[in-house]
Amino acid sequence: MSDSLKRHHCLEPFSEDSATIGSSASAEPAIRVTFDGHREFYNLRGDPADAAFTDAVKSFTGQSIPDKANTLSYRECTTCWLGPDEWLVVYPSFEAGRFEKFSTELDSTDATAVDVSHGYIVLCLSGDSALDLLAKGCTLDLHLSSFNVGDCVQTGIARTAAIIANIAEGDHYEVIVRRTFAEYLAIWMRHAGAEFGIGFD
Amino acid sequence: MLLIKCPWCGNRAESEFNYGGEAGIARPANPDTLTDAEWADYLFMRKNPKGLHQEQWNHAQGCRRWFNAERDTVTYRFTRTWRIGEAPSSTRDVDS
Amino acid sequence: MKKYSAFGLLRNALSYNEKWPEAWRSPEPKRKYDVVIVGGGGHGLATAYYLAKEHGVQNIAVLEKGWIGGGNTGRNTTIVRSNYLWTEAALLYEKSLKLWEDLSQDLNYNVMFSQRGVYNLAHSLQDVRDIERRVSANRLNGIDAEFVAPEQLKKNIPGLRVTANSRYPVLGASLQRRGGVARHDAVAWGYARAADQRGVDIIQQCEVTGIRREGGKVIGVDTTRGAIAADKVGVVVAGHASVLADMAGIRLPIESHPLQAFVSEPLKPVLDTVVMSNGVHGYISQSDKGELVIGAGIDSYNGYGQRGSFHTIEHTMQAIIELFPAFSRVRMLRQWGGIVDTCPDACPIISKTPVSGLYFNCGWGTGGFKATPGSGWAFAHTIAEDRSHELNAAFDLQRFTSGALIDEHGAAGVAH
Repeated sequence: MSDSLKRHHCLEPFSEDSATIGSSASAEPAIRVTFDGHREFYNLRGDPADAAFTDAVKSFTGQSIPDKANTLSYRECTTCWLGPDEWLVVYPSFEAGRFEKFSTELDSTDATAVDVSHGYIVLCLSGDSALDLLAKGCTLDLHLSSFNVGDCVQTGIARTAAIIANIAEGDHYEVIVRRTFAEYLAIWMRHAGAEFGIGFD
Repeated sequence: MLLIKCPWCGNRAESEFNYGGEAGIARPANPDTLTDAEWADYLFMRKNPKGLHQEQWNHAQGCRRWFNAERDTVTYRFTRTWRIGEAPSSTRDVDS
Repeated sequence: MKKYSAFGLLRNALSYNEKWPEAWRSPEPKRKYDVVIVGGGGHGLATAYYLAKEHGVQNIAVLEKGWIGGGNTGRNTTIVRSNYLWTEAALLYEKSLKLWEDLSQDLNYNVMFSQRGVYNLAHSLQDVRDIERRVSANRLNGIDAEFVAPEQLKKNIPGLRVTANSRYPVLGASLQRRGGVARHDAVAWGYARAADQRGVDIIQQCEVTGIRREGGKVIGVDTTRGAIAADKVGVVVAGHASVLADMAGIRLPIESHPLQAFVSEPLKPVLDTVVMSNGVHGYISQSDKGELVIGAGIDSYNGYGQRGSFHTIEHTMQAIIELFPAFSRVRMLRQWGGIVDTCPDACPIISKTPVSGLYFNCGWGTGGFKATPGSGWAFAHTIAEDRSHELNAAFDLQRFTSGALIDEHGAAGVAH
């Protein structure tokens, strides 16, 4: 029943209210932010040395879990490294029954998966100044020499715990945050991004 | 801001971490057999050295793992960090 | 030693203030003292003063590794109050407050004690309940305390943002009118002068490097200026308590942390009281010079460095601006840190130790300045009589074994 309802996310009113802000308000802004609240997130815990676990994940997601810290693997879904025995699997859209199937797949292993889809939202940033904006609220070195496609980092942005995923060439970044912090972070981005020019879709 | 090397994530800013106090305090196996003074020692007494201190940190805004660190309490410089359950490296990353 | 007076001020003014005598001597250490106090901060100097004055001890030295009042005595935010929750703590701090009220006369030295009131803000319903409870507990102990409603707070403290819809709404406050501030350096100097007048040797630039013991009894100390024999040794060194305890083979439940404070550029009078907030972690008053005096919370890690991390400063500034938005444009002049000796129950230790003749006074954490007179008074009694006074009996080191802790984390306030 609930599967047939349209899923809303907390930032829909925000994007409707927000025009482009900043110095280049008339032109295309240097940063574009879109909200994606319709993805599926599974928190995955398991032993990467356990072949039964890694094989089960690979057969379901079609890709190996990343074993290197602060990296991700990306095909049909994104799997972010969160810790030595913890990952976040992100599917781009909701599909009824998928989590149950995934969970069943892991039944014969010592691993667990938890559907945390309702807990997260993604702020997709693009544009020349996207990294400059993130750098204003984040202590990490986001320069190309240390942050490339295939990297993902857990850090704080303007005090908010967030995951920054670098999944595509060309100044495109995904910021995964808790839903309850998303509005605060979006407001922060609106303020912090004004100097570059920022637009919300 | 201190620069702390998480044994999993590498160098990160202090603001991503929580401090967890002195490292290596083992909970007594049989608390019932301890005297009150021994229990008090376990519970409350701390080395609090002026100089190198072995302590616990948690990478709260990162991989959320606890790890061990050795830090100089005067210069605040971290001399080495290592994963829980492992032994520290025999050499220090930097001198204190 | 000449008594300070208005007449003396005038006479010295006429001689261009060039003939003031030194306020205390700088004697060479003797080979032996009856009592050696380690630590020349306010607490140590007060201890020596009350030992001489109240207990007639003649032969006392205060050993200070740096200069007197150069540690936490000169680094705190000078707040004085006694509104602690539990009877044991309330009575000890109240003893101190009573001594503060007559201190300038007693020492013949103006410590500029100003009873301008201390507010502790409530930001949630639970804060309100806690504060109402503490106000009632204070009154039962004969300590002045009142609850101030938001409407009245707006009138009393015009700069304070009292709105119901802010992130940390101000829902009321406790007020201790007899609380206030004192000039911290003057407290050290006043006690030093008064103790010196009673024959106490104040020896600066003299660091204790060892505690000599024989048969479980203390017999003296090693210092950077040679060995000094003593019948009794009282250690009151704040952040370095664990270091001195280690010299005597004693373990303490103390952890030393950096605690930071700041002052702004001087302003015209804008704040005539002291405002503290546990909720947003900050406390603020205005000095007689006009500087805003702001205190932070402790840095989380153990540290002996007399400095802390920048994000702690940032956090404190955010707290102050949350409370007083108008101060967002004030520039900070100076920032510094002290080393505070925190105790698991946020209460001090004024105690005998397993070593006979060795006494420790430590664990004041972030709140030692207010206790300076009472701490010295009780510690002097403990040393002179070789037993605690009833005011500090509960603050024995033994409480960590017996479990009779005195949890003052709520009233100790902002920092730990």
